[in-house]
Amino acid sequence: MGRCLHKKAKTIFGCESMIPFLYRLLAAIIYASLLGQPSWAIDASGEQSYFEEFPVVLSASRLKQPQSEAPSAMTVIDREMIVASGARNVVDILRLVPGMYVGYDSGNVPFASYHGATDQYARRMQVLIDGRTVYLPPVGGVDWLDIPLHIGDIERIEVIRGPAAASHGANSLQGVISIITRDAVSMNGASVALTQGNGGISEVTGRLGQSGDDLDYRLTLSNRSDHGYDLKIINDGSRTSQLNLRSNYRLNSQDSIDFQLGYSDGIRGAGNMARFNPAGGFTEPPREIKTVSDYLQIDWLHALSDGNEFKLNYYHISRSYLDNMPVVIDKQGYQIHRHELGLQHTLPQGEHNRLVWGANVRHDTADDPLTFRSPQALNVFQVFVHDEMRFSPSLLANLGAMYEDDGMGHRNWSPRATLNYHVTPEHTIRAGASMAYRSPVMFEQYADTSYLVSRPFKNVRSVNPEKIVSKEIGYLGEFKEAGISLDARIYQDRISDYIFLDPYVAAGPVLTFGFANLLAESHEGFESTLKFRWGERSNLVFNYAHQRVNCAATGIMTLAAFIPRLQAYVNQCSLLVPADSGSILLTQQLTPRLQFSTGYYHQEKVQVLDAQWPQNLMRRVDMRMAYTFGHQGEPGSGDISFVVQNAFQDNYTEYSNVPQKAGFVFNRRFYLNATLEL
Amino acid sequence: MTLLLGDSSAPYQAFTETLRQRLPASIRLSVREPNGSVGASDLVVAVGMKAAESAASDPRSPILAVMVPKSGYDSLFLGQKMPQGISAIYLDQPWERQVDFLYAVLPDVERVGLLYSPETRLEISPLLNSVANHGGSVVAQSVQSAERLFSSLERVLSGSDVLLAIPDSRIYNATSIRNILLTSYRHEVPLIGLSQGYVNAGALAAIFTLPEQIAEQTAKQIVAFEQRRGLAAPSYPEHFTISLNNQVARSLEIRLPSESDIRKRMRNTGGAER
Repeated sequence: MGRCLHKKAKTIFGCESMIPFLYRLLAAIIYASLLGQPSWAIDASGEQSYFEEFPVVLSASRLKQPQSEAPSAMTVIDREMIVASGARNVVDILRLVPGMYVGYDSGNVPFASYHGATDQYARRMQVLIDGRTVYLPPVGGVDWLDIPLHIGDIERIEVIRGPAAASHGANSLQGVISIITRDAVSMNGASVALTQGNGGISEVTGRLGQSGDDLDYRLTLSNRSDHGYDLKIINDGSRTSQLNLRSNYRLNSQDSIDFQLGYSDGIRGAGNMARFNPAGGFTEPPREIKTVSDYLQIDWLHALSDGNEFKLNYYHISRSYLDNMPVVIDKQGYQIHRHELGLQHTLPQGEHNRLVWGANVRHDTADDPLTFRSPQALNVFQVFVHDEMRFSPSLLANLGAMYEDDGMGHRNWSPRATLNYHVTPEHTIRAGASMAYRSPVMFEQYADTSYLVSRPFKNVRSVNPEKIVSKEIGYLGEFKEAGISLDARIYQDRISDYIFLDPYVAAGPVLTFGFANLLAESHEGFESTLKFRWGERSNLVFNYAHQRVNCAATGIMTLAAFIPRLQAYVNQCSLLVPADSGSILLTQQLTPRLQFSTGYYHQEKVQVLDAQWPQNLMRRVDMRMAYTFGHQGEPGSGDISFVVQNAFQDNYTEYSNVPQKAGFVFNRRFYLNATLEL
Repeated sequence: MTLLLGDSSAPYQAFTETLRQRLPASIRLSVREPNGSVGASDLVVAVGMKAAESAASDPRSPILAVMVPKSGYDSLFLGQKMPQGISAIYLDQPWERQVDFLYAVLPDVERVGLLYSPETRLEISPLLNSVANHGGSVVAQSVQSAERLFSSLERVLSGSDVLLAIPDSRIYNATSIRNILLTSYRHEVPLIGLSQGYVNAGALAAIFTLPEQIAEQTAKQIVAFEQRRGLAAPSYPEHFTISLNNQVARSLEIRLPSESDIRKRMRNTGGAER
């Protein structure tokens, strides 16, 4: 096609004969809009547009690292995948991570653990929300249902598979789940959403947001409930009300303050109608647990145009848990507080080197009179440094280390070194080694329930942190012509000083439980994610993990009588992870307004640490169909979606002991959601 | 020779400094602010739109308007009778060069996103042609008001491979740039900006001419004027600067060519310096 000949044409019609119809139409639209504006706007035609000073928006901490240059294997689940999965809670989304185990102790106690080998207090992964760690005392792990976090506010979830203490802090023994929520600027207007389904599934969500010259905010209010497994025998329904606010205020072109707060108020059903007390009544009577969680977080970001960035942040988390257990004792509850102050400085050293260093101080308290004799407090201190060195366009090294004082008398270095070699720009090989620690949780170190007549806990031995040494080789490939990308790796993780129950006799006939570093575990495996996009409308994600675990008794138990029990655990250790597991997520845009997606989840037999029976093969299919209407983002627009979970009613049971014993299965669930922009 | 400065801020200072260095000592410059009478002079060099307007109001001398956008210059002088003659060195890049640059940076782009406000007054057909010459198409979306920027952005980004900034301060300004960059980043759509400021903020790349580069060209024109007593036709800047944001490129997994490769590719498509 030729170029416009009329170089001096004043209007866009000057060379209309040269441009195709569509362009003429477009030009006409722009021209028409000009006709309505006779007044001449000098500010739009002056030279100021070229000299204006802008704030640094996409500074270092806002930019996500490309997978081909990341120092660890990483699974990124973005909003599209979250929506397509149809999941109602965060934990179910994690089924899309190769090697991740997702289970439910009961309908209101979901948990996730990477590389299995866990109990319901999965405590070998770090979990961060916008950099705030929600891996909480006294027992470690994460209470997923309670976190003030709405699934619709999540921008993406980055799951680092492997230890990453150097970049993500302590306790990232086996991996890190880092949840990044949507920016304050991401919502402009208001919307309401309603969900209704079987099993008591119900949710109401309201959102409000506004972006202004120097202040943005978004607010989400929600109330959700369900009947849990919906089984008569266990009382595991839940109802949760939440509020989440995020706002961003720009002081000037270099400084901004991000302010977040959240509040969650929940009622959890508890109790088991299958457990009777020989003396009469239930040992676990049906009752309600009340939980309240809140947080406040302030991040001050100072970003300079030379690439330097300072981030100073503070947050406070509090959580209270009150179990109205009428039989054994009057009330069982705890109150936790966490304060953390952190500083991070990113300093680019020319084009080929970028250094990040920082320090955090954390103060944790747990007031749990029935678990600890007195309120517990821990002061944790960390410094970290991470350097990204680019030796050539094809060779990149990531070196980093964290030094931690865990407040329990342990001081450890956690180093990591990785090389990423781009064989061609499309094909990358990554090789890395790292070391990390998990400090004992408060319960393991300080629990004292020696007043109990059954299973009292009181630790008398000194417990050291668990240690992991991890090695891996990974490959990332892009086959652009075919629309395929592949992420695969083999790994070997050796965990030593694994903390395990160590019973002893304190006084009288009652056996008291303490903890000791008794085991070593060796994990080996292969993980892969294949993404296939064909055409503009079809997208497939395929995850597969093959894993193997071996255990060995390495510590000495206090009572020789229990050595066979430890040995029995060692002998059946290989069942702690499913040999093969995987998932498939297919998204198909049927018409511009109609989208279909389906997820398939597969998990071979697995024995969770504290479950009495192994969990058999699980196969589950979820489906979602969604219709959108109106102009996206404008008032009057929205969508209607229908989700079915476990569509073919595969009879699989979850981890929990009770449903398994009773032969109960995860029943098919379906729900309808409608969202309207106001 | 009168130098009429629109402003005393850094770009105008940089322009003046370079111009002084490049002019032969025989040419005397008298620097004025654009208020009051300009007075008769051999040649009035008006720097920026404000200075050009001021010069236009007192057309007793030949005028060379520099560092002015073409659209602004056209609105001011096109059709006006300037007895002593008038010319310009524009600040903006010709669309062809801008588009050649875009395709040198991102050869695979199919859909170029464009946001414009009802006040946008730009000659857009060369842009449409240039994009079509590269086998692409333009996805344009009007922004009716600042409040509607958000939904307009979402719409244009969901159908674009790249967002091309245009000189319209109603859309692109220090307060809105945050929203634009964060939203486009979320859509993994890179922004091609208009200045170093855009690239510092988070745009993938920008092509622009620095005041110093305009000053060099201006010095040449002044010398030529002295020799020939005549002004050349208005022209776009001869030289340009390329700025790339490697951090953003890496994060978006875009493999940026080197600056010299970009210039080479632009020469091959004809949009390079002339």
